[in-house]
Amino acid sequence: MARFLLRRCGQGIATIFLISLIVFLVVYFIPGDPVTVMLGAQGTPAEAATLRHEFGLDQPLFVRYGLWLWHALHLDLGTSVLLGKSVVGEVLDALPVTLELAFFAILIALLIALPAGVAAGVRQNSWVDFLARGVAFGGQSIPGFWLGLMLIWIFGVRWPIFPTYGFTPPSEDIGQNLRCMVLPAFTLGVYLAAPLTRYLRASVIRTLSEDYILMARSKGITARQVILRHVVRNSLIPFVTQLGLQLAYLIGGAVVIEQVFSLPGIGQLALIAFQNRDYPVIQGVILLVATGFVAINVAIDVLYMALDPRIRLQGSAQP
Amino acid sequence: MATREDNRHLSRSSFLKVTSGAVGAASLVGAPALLGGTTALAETSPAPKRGGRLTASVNEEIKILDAYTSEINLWRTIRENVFDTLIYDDLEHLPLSLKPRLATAWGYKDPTTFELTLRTGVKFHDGSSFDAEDVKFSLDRLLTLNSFIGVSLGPVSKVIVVDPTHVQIKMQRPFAGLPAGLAHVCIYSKNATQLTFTQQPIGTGPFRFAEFRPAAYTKLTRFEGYWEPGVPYLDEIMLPVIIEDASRLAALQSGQTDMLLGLSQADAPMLMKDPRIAVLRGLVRSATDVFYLNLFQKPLDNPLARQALSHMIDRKTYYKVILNGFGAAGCSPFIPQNWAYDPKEGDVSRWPYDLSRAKDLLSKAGYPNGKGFHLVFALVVGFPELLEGAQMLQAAVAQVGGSMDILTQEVPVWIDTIEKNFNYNLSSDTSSRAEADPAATLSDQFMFGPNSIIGRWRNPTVSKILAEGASKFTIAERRPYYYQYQTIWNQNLYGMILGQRDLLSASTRRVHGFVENCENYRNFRYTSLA
Repeated sequence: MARFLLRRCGQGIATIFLISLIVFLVVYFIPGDPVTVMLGAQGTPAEAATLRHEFGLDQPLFVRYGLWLWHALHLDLGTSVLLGKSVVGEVLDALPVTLELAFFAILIALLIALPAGVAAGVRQNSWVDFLARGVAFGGQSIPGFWLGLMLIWIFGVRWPIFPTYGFTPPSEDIGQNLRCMVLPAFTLGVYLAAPLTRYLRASVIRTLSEDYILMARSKGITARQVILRHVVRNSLIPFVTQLGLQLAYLIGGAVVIEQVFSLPGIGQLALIAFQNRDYPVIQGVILLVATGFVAINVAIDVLYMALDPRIRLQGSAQP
Repeated sequence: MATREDNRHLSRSSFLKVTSGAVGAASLVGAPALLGGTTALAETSPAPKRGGRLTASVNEEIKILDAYTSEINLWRTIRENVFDTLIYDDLEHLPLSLKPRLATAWGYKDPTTFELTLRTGVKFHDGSSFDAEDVKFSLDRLLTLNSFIGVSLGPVSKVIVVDPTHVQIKMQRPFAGLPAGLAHVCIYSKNATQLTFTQQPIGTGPFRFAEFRPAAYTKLTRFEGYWEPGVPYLDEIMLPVIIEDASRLAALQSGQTDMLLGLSQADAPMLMKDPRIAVLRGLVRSATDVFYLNLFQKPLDNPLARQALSHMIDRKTYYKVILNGFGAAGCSPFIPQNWAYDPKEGDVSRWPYDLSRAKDLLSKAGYPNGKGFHLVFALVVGFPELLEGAQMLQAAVAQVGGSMDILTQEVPVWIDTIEKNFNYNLSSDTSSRAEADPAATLSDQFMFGPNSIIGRWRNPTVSKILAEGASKFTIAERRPYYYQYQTIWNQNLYGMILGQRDLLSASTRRVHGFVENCENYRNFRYTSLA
């Protein structure tokens, strides 16, 4: 197990390094730089040259990357070119917002997908199945920004129950914080629930056809117990993979949802950094997202072992 | 030098007559500042109530906190409230004029020596006192930065501290636009550090720059030591960033925000039907819509082709339909109320929408029936009305037999297009100062000036005309030069002027005392909440 984890971590570090290099090069070669964004079309060449020198943007590419990497290894991701704030600070400001949104969105997605997916799989081709698949299909088809705006209109303007924008930190007002999260989390959760429902349904159908399920039923175990103890647990493995991937995706920030609801999360931070060519922030956010992906994938592998003893045994048997 | 009283009415200078910033004594047909609803806020405003937090949503994030480098609309609004300028360009009362702020009096001692008398008893937000050294520090810094704002001061030679309450600005040559230029220069403390210019702006304005969260919000709080007694009324101003227009409208209509700054002309008619909301418009128009041209690339290197194109732009329909009537078509960089406006050259009839005339001119230019007449229009993404205008033109070009591609680009890509690779024939932007002193509107490197950064056109004759116009001090002497300029502009068509648009904001009925500013220098000194 320890060897496995070490190997996975090593692979992860190499992946993160490669991603940071690729992103650095790609961002460097796309048109524009932060100075052109700051000054706009009205900036004089003299102004622009002064600012570029001030931000070190006139240094050779390999020098800039080398300096960035050296500082990153010391957990210093540099300073935002646009506003002079520390990248780590900006990311730490934005991350809790995204994590909270991700948490509630996943919670809502699970509350929908778990019962719907299991019910649809167990009662295949019944009205329950059609209903669950219909809702899943609808959830995936409806654009998130449209659903978000509709919810804002209905529950923010027409019947003003929830805030229409912004984020209140829980330390300031926990009630308001939760109210701010309802609409965006629901919008995102419905979207996430759709593929989860379909995955779980397919997995349940496959598991139901396994011999050990037939054996369990023939031993007289009730259907309810078979489903809860055997079917659901064994159906969760591919479901967990999908869930993990979605969670990893959410770490990067749900850009559209954050924009519609004006949540100052990682998605907004990344989008604005990219639009403004704020290189250190772009690098910092990509590094965070890549690290998040790697960490979550490792966690999923560990979770597999907990769910399926066969994987645990296979792992320990490997030289 | 005559001393001006600390009030809102200027006594006439005893020196050479100085052109006032904009309109002078020209009367203006009272354009309503309030649109929609049934109650005119301005007429029935109660006495201002002190206190409260105003929440005004914006849809752009600040990129730079330096008052001399950034000109984005939101930053103009913020710096208007965090800083004071020496002279105030009052665009909120008629007639438009320049008024005292940190300078209580000003004038020319001789054609190249401009002197200011400074206000006493003014404090910066850090508690330090304001004096002439702060003015020298600020102006010296501005001039070394070579920035867009500095250019509008004209050919400044040096800044001299006469004594703590008097400053002299020496010019290389006479420049009548100096007072109007000073109206846009925020004054920093001489103790300002790099932190002041990049993260913590400190001025003498009525509000402190209290808190800033990038892409989330900006918070301003009342400065209790402000020099003008009794103001500001508000305790706090919150400026949350809400990028999505639909979300901003929802926030306003639900009452979560009190104001929406920078309302799009497309959304205004809907809000005007809501009795809870007031749509606010500047007293005059200042924002000029321009399709500017790449004169160094075929086919628009040919003046006949440019003239043909100008006949393909349906200016009246652009403002009537696309901007919902919030603007007026014209062919001058000045509004009709500006003394520099030439009615012969500025009226929309100078370039009527006429496709048969356009076709004729195209034939003479070597593009019979539009064959071979192909254009590329590069636009910044995020301005739907400019895109619709471009699409309207695209349809007209197709009707005469030509073709046009429209490229919508991110800001950095667009800047690269217009400044580096020049792969465009037309682009579009909105310029300001249509109401201002023409020396400011046409400063070197401004959109309409020769040596313009964006348009890249050069004309030594025009440069000479503008320098002459700026060197005189009476309207009667200056006007002929600016008339000549407008004639040359229309003969050569360095760009297609469409006209001027209204800048709009919206507020709930609890907001009183706010007047929309046509240049985005929104002033919250006299704003209060019911």
